[in-house]
Parts: sequence; structure tokens; C-alpha cells
Amino acid sequence: MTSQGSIAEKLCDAAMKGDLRRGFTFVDEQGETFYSFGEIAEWAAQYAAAMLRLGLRRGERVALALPKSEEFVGAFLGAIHAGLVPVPMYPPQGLGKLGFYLEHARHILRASQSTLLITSAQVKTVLGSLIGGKTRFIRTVEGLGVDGTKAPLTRSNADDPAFLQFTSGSTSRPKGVLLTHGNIGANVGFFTEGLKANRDDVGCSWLPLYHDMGLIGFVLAPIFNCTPAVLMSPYVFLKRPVEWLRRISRHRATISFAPNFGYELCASRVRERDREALDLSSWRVAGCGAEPIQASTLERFHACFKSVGFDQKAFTAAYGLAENTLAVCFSSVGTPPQSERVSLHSLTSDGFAAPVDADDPSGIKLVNCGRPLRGQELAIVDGSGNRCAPRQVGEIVIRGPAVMRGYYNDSMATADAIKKGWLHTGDLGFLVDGELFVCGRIKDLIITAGRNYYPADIEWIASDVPGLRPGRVVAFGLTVAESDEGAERVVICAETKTRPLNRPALAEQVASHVLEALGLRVSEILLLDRGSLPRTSSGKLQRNKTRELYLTGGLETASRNEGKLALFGHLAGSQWGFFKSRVNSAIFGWGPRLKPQPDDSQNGPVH
Amino acid sequence: MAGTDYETLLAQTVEIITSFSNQTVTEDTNLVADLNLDSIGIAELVAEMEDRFNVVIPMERLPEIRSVRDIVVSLVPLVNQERG
Repeated sequence: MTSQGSIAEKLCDAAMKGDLRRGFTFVDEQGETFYSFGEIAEWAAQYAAAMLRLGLRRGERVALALPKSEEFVGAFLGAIHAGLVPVPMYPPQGLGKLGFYLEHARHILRASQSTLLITSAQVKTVLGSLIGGKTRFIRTVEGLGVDGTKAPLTRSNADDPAFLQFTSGSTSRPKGVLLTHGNIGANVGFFTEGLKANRDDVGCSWLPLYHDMGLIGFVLAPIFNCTPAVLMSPYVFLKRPVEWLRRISRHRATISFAPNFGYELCASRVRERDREALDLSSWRVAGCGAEPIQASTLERFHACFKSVGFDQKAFTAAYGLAENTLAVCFSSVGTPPQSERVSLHSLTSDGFAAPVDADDPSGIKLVNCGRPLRGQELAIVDGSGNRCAPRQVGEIVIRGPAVMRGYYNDSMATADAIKKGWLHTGDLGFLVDGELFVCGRIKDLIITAGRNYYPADIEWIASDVPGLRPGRVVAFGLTVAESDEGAERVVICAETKTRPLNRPALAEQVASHVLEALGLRVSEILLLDRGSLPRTSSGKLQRNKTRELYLTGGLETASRNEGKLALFGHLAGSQWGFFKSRVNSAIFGWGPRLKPQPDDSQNGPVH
Repeated sequence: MAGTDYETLLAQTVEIITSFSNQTVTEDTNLVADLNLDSIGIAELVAEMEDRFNVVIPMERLPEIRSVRDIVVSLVPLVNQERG
């Protein structure tokens, strides 16, 4: 089932229903403010009139860097109401990061060719210099002069661009994903059905609104379905994670999503006396996605909150990406999370997920992300585009009406991503009984000694070492060309909890722990101070950026630590050199030992 | 000014940040370069300060804050407004 009509038309429909209890509740440091869909539709028409007064024409891009959620929602929906194409940008965050922000904003404005940037007064003073080229106006909401004047609704077709979603760029510079009204209607329809959502559902989210999961999942889907949603500022959540759970309790929310770290933060930071006042029994879908899901985090969260009504069956593992609008797969709603233990050895050396017993210490637990949502096709393919057998690891490819039109103004990147109608996600995974398990990104795969390692596995294992900050570990590989030792090398960069008294001893502990668990020799371990590792706007660690900084020496400068520690450098010349030649023929990278696939009709090429 | 003065708030702030970061903290300590706080660490610290002084430090202030001094400068009017 897909929904017809543009976002602006859906908002008018929701407003026409006249139900004053349905709309958005905005939560910031000052408290809660509720607006019905009728009021929000009025904002949209008023923002649209103000934008059109500047002389903007249909299809022109409007960049939005607005920290206040009400303003963001008003301007976003206003642009669509006026037939313009909004471009959500993240506002500056954290301390003293304005220099980096300026560079990011320049990239987005140029790549999107935005005519107008709407932002706060504070950001305007920083970004004022970016005027020029296509960008003719930089305005605050106040400067835009939003008043009682309303613009008529501009109708859109399914093929018309709806908005540009810049990907957060964990592996490269952000690219503008062009989504049409048809894409959004299709994906919202698919995931509404997948979540068995109905008019009694209440959403609650602290996800940033410039990010696809927050924007499409908790602003657009509630408009399409005319269901209320509570939108909390991410800053409020980061300060006091319990606030998220309090709003779920107070509003009897039924659907809420967060990345793994959100659940982790609640499990580690919510105090017992705060926990007792919660009631999480209304929470029907506790979605987890947007970054690798750790079964252990979900278990910890459940152990912490089951006494206040949290039902383990609410956990819903999700896989999705901006290039497919938002959602691709959900684990089955209303059943506890399923995970499977597979042999790490078989996964790394053969790219095959062989099941092992639950108590097998050489196994690794992966979370089941379920089947593709109805209306979308998913396949796992090898480097030649042939379908992989069940349990064989390959690239996840997707086909269906939610696949983006392309990257805005970047035909080369688009041609790389969409081949014969199939979106190549760059993510690695395998299928068991048609259900998806995600392993990691192709570009991040570490190939060494003829075996393939997923950085997430190395990172999780290293995180176990006391003294390292959990989740603040990045692992990557260096090719022969990049390595100054004439062999492939594996590097771990990790933030430490405090400045360790004995860095070499801690580094050695990390190395031996990884060696024991994975059989992998790490050639170098950099122990860094808090906050040294670069992150994306949504808080994900940036592996590629870390790698880049490592290669240019930027990490050490940033952290002022006493220098890198070449632990196993002396091994490089012997063992590592020997294995080098075995890696070169790798397909994608999982090595010459990849099993050939049977060539029957099920396993035919996808393109 | 009858309210809490800069020096008093500075001493209290230094004490909070010292216990938070386990490092030697002075008025000139740079939160990013010296303490290397990431966004979660900063949010945690801000919550700690808000609880202690019973104020709200708005998100818009954060990009302007670099040093311990900057935090205290932001706090003085907030704390005095609160204590009226």
C-alpha cells in the first residue's frame, strides 16, 4: 500500500479532519508545547508565503539550519507547500566547532545549489559570508517576515522532488539524496504497514529532525497517518536520557526509535530513583536502527526497564538508509529480538555465516533485521552481481518505489549506486530464511592475511577492555601502499576513560584481547583522549575520517597524546608480507576462498 | 550586584568540572582541547551544572563556550536571575 499525494496535501488532509488533539508536542528545555495539525498547516501556508515573496520559483532549493524544532518543521513544510525543495542541514553543535561547521555548510549550499538559507540569528553571523553563487538570500525566520499572509497550496506529482536529504557521510562527503513525493508516500505506506501502525498510535522521538529517521519517521509519517507525535530536542535527551522515557510514559507513546547508543545511554545513565516513576507499558514498538545493533545493549536495556513495564517484545530491529527513503527491513513486530550466533572464523575467511552453538566462544552474535517490507525487494549479491546463496555474505541491494531518484547533480555517484533499477547499498549482509543480517560496510571491510574482518566486530571486542570508552573505538585497515611497512596493517584508535598511567600496558591488553577473540594481530593501537575521534552530525563515529586523520597525522595533534604505539610493527616484515599476495584476487575483499555459487534461476544475476 | 559573583561561581564550577573529568582544571582550561569532551560528555557536564545551580543552559550558548571562563560568564546572569 502506498500513499498518494504530496506531504503538503497530506498535511491539509490532516488539518481538515479538525481533530484538535492530533498534532505535534514539541519538547525543549522550557517544557512542552502542543500544536494541532490545523495550526501546523497554517504555519506551512504562512512560511510558504514569506518564501515566495523573495521571488523563489518552483523547484528551487531552500536550505534549513534551524535548531528550534518548531521553526524547522514550519519552514520545511512551508517550502513544500510552496513547491520548493527543502534541504535539511544540521545546526552547529557542541563547543567551538564553528570553523568545521562553516566548511560543512559551504559544501551543502554548493552541492544543493540552494537559493535561500534559513537559519538562526547566531548561525547567520557565522554563515553570512557564504552568500554568493546560487545562494542569494540568508535569512532568519524573523527576517523572512512570516506573518498572517498565506500562500495557496502548490500541488505536486509523485515524480516531483520533495526534498534533498544529505547523508551523514560516515564513509564520504555528504551527498544529496533526491527523494520524490512518490518515494516518500511509498516508504511511509510500507513501514506503516510493517509496524502495524494505526490511528491509536502515538510517536515519540528525540532524533534530530535533519536526519531521515527523525524527519520521515516522526514528522512526515504522523502527518500521513494523522497520528500525534512528541518531538523532543536531541540536546534534552543527551543531557538527561531519562526525559525520553518520561515522555513515553506521560504521553502513553506506542512507537519510538533510537540508534543503539540511545538505548545504551539509558541503560547506563538512568538512575534507579528516576526509573521507578516510569511506566513503559504503552511502548509497543521500540525500534533500533541507524547504526549496528548490539544484542547485549538490548538485553541490558530490557533488564533495566522490565520492572517498569518495558516489554522485550517491543524491540524492533531495523535496517534502512536514506537512499531508500528510510526503511528497508524490520524484524517481526511483537516478537522479542532474534539473534544468531555465527562462526567468526567462517565469516572472516569464507564470507559464510555458519551457525554455532550459543555457548561457542568463537561465535559472534548478530541481530536479525527481518524481511524486506512488503513492496520492496532485497537481494544479496557478489561482486559480479550474482545472487548469493543463503548465509553467504554479499552486498545488500534493493529495488522498489522508495529507491531515491538519485544523488542531486551527481550522475556519476548515481550510476555507481543504482544499476538496472537496483540500489547498491554498500552494506554487507546475508540472508537466512529470507531474513536479513547486516555485517557492515563494504568500504570499511578490513582484509588482512587472506581474511576479512568487519571493523564493528573488532571495535566491539576492543571495547570490552576496561579503561577504554565503550563505543568509542574505531578500527580500520591500511593497504600496502598506505602502510609504511610494506604490508597491510590493522589500526585501532580508541578513546580512554581517563588518561591512563601506563599507555603501553593498556595498548598491549587491547592487542592481546583482540588476538585472543579474533585471531587478528593489530599492528598499531592509538589511545586517545575523550572526544578525539571524529563523528558525524548524528553522533556516529566516522571511520573514514578517522583513517584520513590517522594518515595525515591529525589524530595525534588533536589528542596531544604522546604518540602512536607500534606494537607489532616488527611482525610486519614476516607474517604479513607472506599473506599479502593472497589478498589481491579478493572479490570485494573476502578473499580467494569465496565459494562459487550455484547458478540456478533463484541465484541468477540481478543485473 | 547583590547576586552570586563571578569568583564564587568560578570556584564551584572548577570543582564540578574537576570531579567530572578527573583532571586539573583552571579558569583557562579549554573544554574541547584540554578535556576533549565529546557531545555526550558535554551534555552530561551541562546537566550536572544545571542540576547544581538550578538553571537551564540553552543549546544556543554552546558554540560560544570554549573555556571554563566562558561557562562561568554564561552562568552568572542565569544564576542571579534564578535567585532573583
